[in-house]
Amino acid sequence: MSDAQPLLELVDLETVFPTRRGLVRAVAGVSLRLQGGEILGIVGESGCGKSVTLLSILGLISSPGQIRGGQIIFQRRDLLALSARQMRQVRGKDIAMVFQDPLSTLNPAFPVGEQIRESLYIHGISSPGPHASPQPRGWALRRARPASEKERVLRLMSEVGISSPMDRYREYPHQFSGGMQQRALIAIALACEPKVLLADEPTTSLDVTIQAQIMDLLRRINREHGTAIILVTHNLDLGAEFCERIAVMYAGQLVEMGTAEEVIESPRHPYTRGLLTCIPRISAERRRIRPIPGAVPDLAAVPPGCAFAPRCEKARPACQTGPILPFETETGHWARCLDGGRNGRRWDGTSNAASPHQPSE
Amino acid sequence: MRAVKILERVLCTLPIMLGVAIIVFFFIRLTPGDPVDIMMGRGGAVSAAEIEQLRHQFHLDEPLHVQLWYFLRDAGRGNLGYSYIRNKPVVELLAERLPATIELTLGSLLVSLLIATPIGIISAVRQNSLLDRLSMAGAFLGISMPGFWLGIILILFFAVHLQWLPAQSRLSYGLQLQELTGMHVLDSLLTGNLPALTDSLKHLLLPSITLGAGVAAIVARVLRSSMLEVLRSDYIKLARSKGATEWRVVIRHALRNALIPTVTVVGLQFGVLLGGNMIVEAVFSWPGLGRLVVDAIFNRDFPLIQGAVMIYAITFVLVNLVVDVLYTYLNPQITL
Amino acid sequence: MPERATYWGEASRVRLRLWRRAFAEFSYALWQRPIVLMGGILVLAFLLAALLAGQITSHNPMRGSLLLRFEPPAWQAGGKWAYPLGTDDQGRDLLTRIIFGTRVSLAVGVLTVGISVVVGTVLGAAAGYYRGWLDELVSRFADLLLAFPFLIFAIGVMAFLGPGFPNLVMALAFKGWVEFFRLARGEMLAERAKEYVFAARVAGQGHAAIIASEILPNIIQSVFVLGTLRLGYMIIMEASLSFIGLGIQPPTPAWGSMVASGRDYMLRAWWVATFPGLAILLLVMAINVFGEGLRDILDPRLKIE
Repeated sequence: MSDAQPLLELVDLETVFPTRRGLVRAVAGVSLRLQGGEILGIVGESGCGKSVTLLSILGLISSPGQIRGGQIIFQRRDLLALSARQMRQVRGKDIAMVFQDPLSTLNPAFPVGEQIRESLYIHGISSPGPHASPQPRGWALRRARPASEKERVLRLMSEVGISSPMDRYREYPHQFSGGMQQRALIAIALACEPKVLLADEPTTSLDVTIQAQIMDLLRRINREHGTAIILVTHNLDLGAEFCERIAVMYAGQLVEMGTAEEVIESPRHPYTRGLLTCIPRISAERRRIRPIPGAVPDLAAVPPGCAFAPRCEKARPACQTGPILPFETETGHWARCLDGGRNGRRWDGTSNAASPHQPSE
Repeated sequence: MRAVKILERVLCTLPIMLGVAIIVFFFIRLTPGDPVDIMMGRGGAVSAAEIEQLRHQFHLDEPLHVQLWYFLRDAGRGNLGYSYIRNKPVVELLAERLPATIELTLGSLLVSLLIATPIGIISAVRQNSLLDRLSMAGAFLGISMPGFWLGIILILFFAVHLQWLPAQSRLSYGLQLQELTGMHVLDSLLTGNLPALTDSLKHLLLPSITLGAGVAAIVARVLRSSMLEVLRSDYIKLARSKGATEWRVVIRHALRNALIPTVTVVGLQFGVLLGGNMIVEAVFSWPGLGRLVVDAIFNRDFPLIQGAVMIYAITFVLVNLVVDVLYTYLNPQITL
Repeated sequence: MPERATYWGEASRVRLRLWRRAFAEFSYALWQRPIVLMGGILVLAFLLAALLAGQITSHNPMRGSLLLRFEPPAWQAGGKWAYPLGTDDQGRDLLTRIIFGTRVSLAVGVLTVGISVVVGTVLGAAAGYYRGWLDELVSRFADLLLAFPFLIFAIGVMAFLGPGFPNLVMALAFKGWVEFFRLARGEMLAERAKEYVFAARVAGQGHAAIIASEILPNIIQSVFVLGTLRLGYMIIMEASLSFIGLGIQPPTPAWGSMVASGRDYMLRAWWVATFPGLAILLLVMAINVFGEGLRDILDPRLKIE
């Protein structure tokens, strides 16, 4: 676990939605750190708040929902304290997002190429990018701007793997296949070379073979551009394969975080263990698939203490009442559980590295 | 090729126009009484011999389908009959009054779109705000109000009480205007005639508001509801995530998509404009087609009524054709 | 003898229970929407006024005294409370005429919409169910009728047919059924593909029985909502036609023709034209408020313009 300055840090983020049933705490005190160039996965089942976390980072929570507390520290600034105008400059340029269902996320009324170009246009990036021919000056720059933007878009399109970009530029989203639509979305996100890419279930609506291609693409982008990626998925396997670190989320809170190997090989939280056992595996040993009993709690009425306690086979009375302090190892692998397992040390609030409640300077 | 497909669409409307003509043909046979009398409009006493001659001239002694053929043939040639009351061919009478009606219809369309568009957009963006509730209440009022009554109330208020605007006609007495297109506003612009411009605009205002109010109400509601739906969609989220300003998101992304169903409704509302046209022209004594028809009803000038109804219907068909074509331009998922 | 519960008997008992519960839910939903409720009450008030017109008024709506011409409304200078809304150009009490005019408006509206609904729904259901040449023929004809703007068509027909109550109803209904035809046909097309229809066929029910007992109840709801919304429109149409002299002729009190005759006297007696028009506005608004509220309650997803 490096001590380097994190690129993006969430401190106790809380996002709520008032509903008729009560106040839904979709994100209930989430803290995590993302290093530059890192691939972090947030894994959890539907409705646990992982997508809302991503949306909160970009400030895309629409009323009546609101971000009620915490900080989002990016490049030494708290994004939550920024004005609308400042935030708009961050969106799409420094932090970009790839959404889940590409057909409904692309605007059906505009050609795909134009939609990619729009990212450049909004942030005033008109150069065709590195390795391009010299820039015209003065008045020629104004006229050349759309042309050079288009050039850059074409490069982007071929980089993300869209074949014959010249023809495809003018086509509309409904004329693209699912995989190509997702590539287009990635191109949109990449256009301004963001430092962080938020990927919200980017492959869930795609075929398995296309899934693999898209994940390869993301991996390549991470390698070649150094873009940090936060991948949100409900597919633990996907997270394990693709991410360097994994955070497991349940009922609006992170319950476990560590490197991919740590979390998959030696999970410390009963929920993570439950997730792992209910995934069918092709392996030598025969193993029963055991679903986790019970159901996800209503996010408007999360019980105090550990939210997972009602379904946990190892639950003790203390699990239902007190605050559950995370349980952490030296390597920074922690779990929010009173029963941390072996080799653990209880977090006592004074350890330094990876302490989620003190933003490092 | 696109042009060919448009031509196809145009050709498809021909059967409908034919059907319209046939229906109009049968209208005149609804009237009880002697057809010659009806054609003549009881325009005075004529001798029995003349009646016989006219009967032959009108082909009334021939079977029905032959009459229909003559009617259609004449209509195709642009001959819509002869008005004995006014002693002119129907086509001529219609052509005289057409510019005034076009001016009124366009003016009303403009007024209604100018009112409905901002209201529809703002009500959707600021849903449930005071402005939204007031606008929707106003729209409700607009669709429940009889047009002729609105016109009368407007006259009472603005022309009689406040004396701000004139109550009838198109141009005040004594003002000179050189007529090029027959549309006063346009002509005064083209000839640089400023007093005529302000005067004709003043005359156009109240009738346009009266006719446009009902349409504005409906268009505002439809625009609002399609904007609301569009604003909920995923591509709006994407647009925002690109860092676009709210203005760009609403106008370029949302509106563009919300216009698609709205345009169809506007096309249909054109029918309301055409129909209400008659009423409003009667209320404001606007010398256009509608007023002509209302007078013709009074004078029992049936050939004129027949010709006018046909022209109105055909115009409506053509307008809907234009809207159809426009729709395919707006919605890339529909090919012609 | 123990009572034999037949299949059909039991089915209708269940249906009755469902109906009662639906009614209770409906009433509750209505209670939650006070404006809609007010609209409904206002409509009811107009209806009662129309039915009891003779009982609640004391003046003669057809003949007045020329001595009492142009009496202003009661609250204005020179007005009398005996003539609350003033009198018209023939000395007739305006309020009385307006109340009697309710009869005409409601009669034309209800009758026209009723005929349109029945004709349109029957034709639409038949066309949607049986398809084939019936569907083609009627659909083409409906498209043709749609090429005419409503008022233009109505004026065209009335101009030649001549004014009068039956002619008016016929002219309006002749154009009005098209909408219901399309609605019924569309819903029928959607419903007939569903499984319960197939099940009924398998059970041996004949076509007509299937339509009547199974499919129609599902279609009725949207038809009913559309009918309520169209009622206000028909009333305005009637008033507009009467305004230009093609509807109900004087001296029968009809709001449209009352406004028309009052128009000539706008300067000296503004009330003669204003109040009848106001009556139209109130009635149509009440109907629309209630109709839209109905749509909201029954199925908020229905979008009918």
